[in-house]
Amino acid sequence: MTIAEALSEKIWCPSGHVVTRKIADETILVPISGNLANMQRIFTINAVGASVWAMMDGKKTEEEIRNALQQVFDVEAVQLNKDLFDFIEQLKQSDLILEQTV
Amino acid sequence: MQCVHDTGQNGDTGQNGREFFERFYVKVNQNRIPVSGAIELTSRCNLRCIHCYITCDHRCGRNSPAELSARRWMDLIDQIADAGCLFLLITGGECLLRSDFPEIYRHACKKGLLVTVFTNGTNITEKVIDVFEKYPPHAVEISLYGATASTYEEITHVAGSFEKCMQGISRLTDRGVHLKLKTMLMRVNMAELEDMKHLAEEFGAAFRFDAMILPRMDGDPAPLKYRVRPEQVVAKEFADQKRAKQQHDFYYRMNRKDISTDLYVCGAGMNMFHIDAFGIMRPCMMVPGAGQNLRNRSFDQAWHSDTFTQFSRKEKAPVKCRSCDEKMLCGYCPGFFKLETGSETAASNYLCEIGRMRKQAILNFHTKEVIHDQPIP
Repeated sequence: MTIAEALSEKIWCPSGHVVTRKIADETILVPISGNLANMQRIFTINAVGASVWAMMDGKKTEEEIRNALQQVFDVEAVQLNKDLFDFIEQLKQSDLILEQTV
Repeated sequence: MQCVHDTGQNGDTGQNGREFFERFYVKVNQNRIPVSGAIELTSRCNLRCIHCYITCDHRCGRNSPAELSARRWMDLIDQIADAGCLFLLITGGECLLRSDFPEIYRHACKKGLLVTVFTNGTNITEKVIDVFEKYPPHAVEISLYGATASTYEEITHVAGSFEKCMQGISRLTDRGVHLKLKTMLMRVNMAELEDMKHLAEEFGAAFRFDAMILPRMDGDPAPLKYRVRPEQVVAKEFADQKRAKQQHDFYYRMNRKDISTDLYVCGAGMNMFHIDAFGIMRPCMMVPGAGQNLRNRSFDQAWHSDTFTQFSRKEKAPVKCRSCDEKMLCGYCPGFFKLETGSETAASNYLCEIGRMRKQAILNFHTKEVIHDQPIP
């Protein structure tokens, strides 16, 4: 399975364990409960990551997010697919997103 | 797209974290964002510590104005978060004396603030543990005044307080709450410093000490007689290799930068604030004089008032401090000077001595390192 194929119809939303803060033009994800290992950490995301994060609204699929990004950011499709795939994996592993079941 | 940063609670933010926070603080300072603050939920305390800087009446709740209500605190926390605060300290007095502490604490966590709690650990209720378990604090720091009941209570003046503190620490650690223990080093407890460190190790908690005893906020110098002599303070600090290395590295890192000659060189009024139990907001707890009353104005109005915007540039540092390269080692603080000497611009001899001795210890530490780097013949 290629990375492009790995991006699917899955829909994500922020878990209840995290609060999004915007301070000094930085987007900061602050874990507030859940995995204790995350409690001494904050997560920062860049502008592309912040766009993805904002689109994880419990409605858009991974593919829809990818397509939306492609229209806005000048980046190779293969690279975008990989970055998005990796980003979603990181967010999942850090317990920051939940899969929305229909 | 994403970066994970340790926030430094384990003593190191890592390379990524350092780079992020350096970049972050440049923007925070350029835009005067109140990223770090302290709220004193109460000035009351159940202990009567001999060295405490809070005035006796306020500690006892006598002749004091009314404390802010939980509703007002939660409203202020909303405003604080909106203004860009990330690090919030909840302190006192003894903040756990307030039965509404869990409600206020939970509210701060849910706003995405990284909350640290300072407590004496003698009032740890099930409700407090429950809220810490559900919303783990960034840190809970408990003051430990001795390793034995007799020394601890010689300082706190409350019989049975040592046992209560030990129980509080046990209950928190049993439930997985991340703790740090610390002590105020005094003549009374100096002999038990190593035992306090071991006690902390037994609880799996980090430990640190501070020796900067202040006069009381009303100018009463009574606590000063418990101070440890400068040479003893520095000897204790540099007996700890990790702390010695930190001071050494800090000195050489800071020494390469231009040190400001402004009176206040810390983040007070620039990125820091303090709100006392009665709703008075100041650039820092240590800053004397009138603050902004949050009973009749918003956090934002107070933050943008002259008290804050003009604060850092109101005067220059004391002449003897301006070119002193021990300034970053001595604990330089005009608020401290004011309490001790009566003037923000008259340096404290105690701090000068400590700075001088720390520098000497750093130079000796450096020499040792160089020698160790030489090939062994």
